[in-house]
Amino acid sequence: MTIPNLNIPSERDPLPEQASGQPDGRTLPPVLEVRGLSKFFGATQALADASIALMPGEVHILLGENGAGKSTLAKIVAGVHAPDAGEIWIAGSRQHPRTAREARNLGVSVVFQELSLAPHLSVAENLFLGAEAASHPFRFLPRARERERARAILHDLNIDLPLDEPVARLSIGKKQLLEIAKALLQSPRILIMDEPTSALTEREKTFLFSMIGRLQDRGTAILYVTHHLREVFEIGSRVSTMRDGRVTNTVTVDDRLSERHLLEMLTGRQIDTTINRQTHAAGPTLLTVSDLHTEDGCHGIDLTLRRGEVVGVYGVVGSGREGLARALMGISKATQGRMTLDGRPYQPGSPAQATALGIGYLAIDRKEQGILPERPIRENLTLASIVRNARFGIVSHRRERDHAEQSLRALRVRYGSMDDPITSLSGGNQQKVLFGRALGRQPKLLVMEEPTAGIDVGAKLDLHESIRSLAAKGYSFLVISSDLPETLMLCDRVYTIYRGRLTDEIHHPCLEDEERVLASVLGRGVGDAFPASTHIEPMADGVQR
Amino acid sequence: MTAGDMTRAKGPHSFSNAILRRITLKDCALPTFIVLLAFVTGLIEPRFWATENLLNLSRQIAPLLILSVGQAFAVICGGLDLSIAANLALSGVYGILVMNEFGVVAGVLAMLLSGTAVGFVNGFIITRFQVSPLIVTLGMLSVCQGLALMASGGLPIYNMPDAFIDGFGYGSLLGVPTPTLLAVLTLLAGWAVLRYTVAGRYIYAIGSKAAAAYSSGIDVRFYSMLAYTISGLTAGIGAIVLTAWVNSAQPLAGAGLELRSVAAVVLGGIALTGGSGSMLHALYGAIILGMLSNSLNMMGVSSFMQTLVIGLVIVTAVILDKLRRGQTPGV
Repeated sequence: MTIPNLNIPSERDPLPEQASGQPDGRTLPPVLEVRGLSKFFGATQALADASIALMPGEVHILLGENGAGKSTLAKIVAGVHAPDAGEIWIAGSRQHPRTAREARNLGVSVVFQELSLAPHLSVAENLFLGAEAASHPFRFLPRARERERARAILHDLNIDLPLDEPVARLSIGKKQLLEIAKALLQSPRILIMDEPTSALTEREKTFLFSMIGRLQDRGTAILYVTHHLREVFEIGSRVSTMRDGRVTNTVTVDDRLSERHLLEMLTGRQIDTTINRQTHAAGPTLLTVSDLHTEDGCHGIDLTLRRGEVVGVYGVVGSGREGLARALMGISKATQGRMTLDGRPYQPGSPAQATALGIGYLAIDRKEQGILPERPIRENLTLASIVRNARFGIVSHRRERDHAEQSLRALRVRYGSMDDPITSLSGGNQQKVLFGRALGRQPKLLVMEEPTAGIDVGAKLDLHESIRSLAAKGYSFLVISSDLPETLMLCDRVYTIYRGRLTDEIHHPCLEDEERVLASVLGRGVGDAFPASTHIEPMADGVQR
Repeated sequence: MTAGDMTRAKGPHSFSNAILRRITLKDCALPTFIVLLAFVTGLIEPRFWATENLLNLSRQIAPLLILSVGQAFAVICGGLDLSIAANLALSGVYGILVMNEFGVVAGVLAMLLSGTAVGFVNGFIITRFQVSPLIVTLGMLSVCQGLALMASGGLPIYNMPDAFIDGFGYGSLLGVPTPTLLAVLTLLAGWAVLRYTVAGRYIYAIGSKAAAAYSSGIDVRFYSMLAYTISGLTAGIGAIVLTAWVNSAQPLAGAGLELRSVAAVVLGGIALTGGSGSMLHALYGAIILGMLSNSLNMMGVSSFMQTLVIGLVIVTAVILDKLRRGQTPGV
């Protein structure tokens, strides 16, 4: 099946079914309106002129990939971050919530992804944490009254939680429900939920959705942040998609809206970009993996990779793709199986050993495993290759600078001075620097996890181009990405991974293979009829259907 | 090729630019404060500028400066070494015991070796078991004190070769006291290691973001261990200077220097969170702390009051540092 329409409307050019603001034709004023919100973190623009309106009694889904700016938007409304530009209107008046408490007093409650529960306190104590502080700091806590109210609230919500249990002993799903109950304590007009189902079991999820339905009936407006396409249809009244810090589309959820349509709204920029993939003959075999088992999710992986090849491994979170990268880099030990590199047995014990043997690594999380925030661009770039610019352990700063300047130019990094802190660069340019770092030791193979997550289109294309031209020179790449169009267009060959095993192999993939790939990574036969689901939903969903 | 040529062509220009860009107001703040402090002290008590006092001052600062160099390694690497002063005392006791048996050279080597060994053990435990440097080095502080008390019988050892006292405590080279000379050499060596070696680069990287350094193929354990080992080595150097200068190896020598060395590096502007700062900062911090005592002494401020003032200066410096970084409190 082909993608029918690649003409993705821009935010200036709304879709025909762009909602005029009111679901069901009602003409109520929005309870929350956000206009032109912008936010920079350093030089990274997390939000760029984002606008959204929330009606009473609607469940408004905010859909976007990682790094699209969803959480930033939610946090600004919740008073956690201050916007650099833009206005927030709550119930018709302009507001500037500067702290979570101020937002709460305005009727905005938030359930964050990172839980804000005190693990050693009991369920009842947690429920009132923050609420009790409104009174005098040395007043005795009204324990009996709190317990009574806690029981009433949990009963009202139909949540079954032991009041005196320390929160640390609850399951993650129960904690999430407690967090939601805590948010509802204030009877908010506006409830913001940031990826609330990420840790819930199927039963807890159903329960949560019914709870959302009841809140909706009471007129609570809900802004529901997620990256699961299916949830749009399960609970959404309207859906807004976000990309690169902008709200790109807002549409009503009805019969005309398909998952395919949403997917296009989400990934539009990738679909209409094409890569000039010059085919070149792949060289001799570089890496073989046979019957690889690991403790973190690989259950018998076999793959080969030749010199000059760009090979993709595509699968959902938890499919074992992370385990494969970790085993290749020596972060986790293989419990069974065999790997060879250039025909010799390959058994790295750490990334340091893997790097020494010629395998470079671009780790998944730029902020947590990538940049050195305190160090300048230059040191970030040359970190892995500094030994090449040193003799007897003494670094030649002149050679290092020359090397850095060449790399920065080759990678088309936009920067002021190479001595500026890395945090002064945009996300895309930071990623280019990290790519340059990983290439610094001239690895035979570069293992990349989510190489372009959360970066702008230009930087993405630059990176793709670099990868293709390096492949033509004989470098090999293993791309582990959850960006399906990217995987299909960038790679010479794509493996799909499902439940720790490779399920399919596609030579010379193109966008038309999307259906086939999605079927493989969700554990379905190719022939099964199903609405094109998305690559970003967790495995459990796919299996359940 | 062309890129390299171009860089070289505009080399001097961009170099001076880089230096100008780096020297900002905040870099001048501490040196200015030092000059101001000296000036004010000189006004109140002209004896401050006497050569003898300045030399004496430099000798007073020497142990703190040496330990601050080691502390800087631990802090930049993202940790802390609270055992550094107790390590100094232990190394002094062991060194003098060896010295009285086998001579000055053997004794000095024993001090260096003992200091390095304690540092290595710190680093080994911290990296192997992934435990908090704060707790490990705090425990090691007590271990060192215990060992020193046991080895010395709880009493200071006054008996030591005159050659050692004359050479390391009161000797001088071209008018510069040996303790000062040793401190400056330690500082220069530490500066060079941090700035010009691969190890230094890796230590910064680990302090900045250990996970990033690890996935970039750096042996994080080895280089963290190295940082603590270097910290221990400076305790050994400090032992030489302090033991010779006070003519005795005391099992509880230098008590409080561990916190003062932490204060010195933080005061100088090395972030306690690791990954930033340079040896220059450790130098500023040590000079200011050392000079404050000297100046207050000369102004006739009581030693009780001095303790109070130094504490206030440290707390103020940390607050200023936080404000300078532009971080809002409470996040």
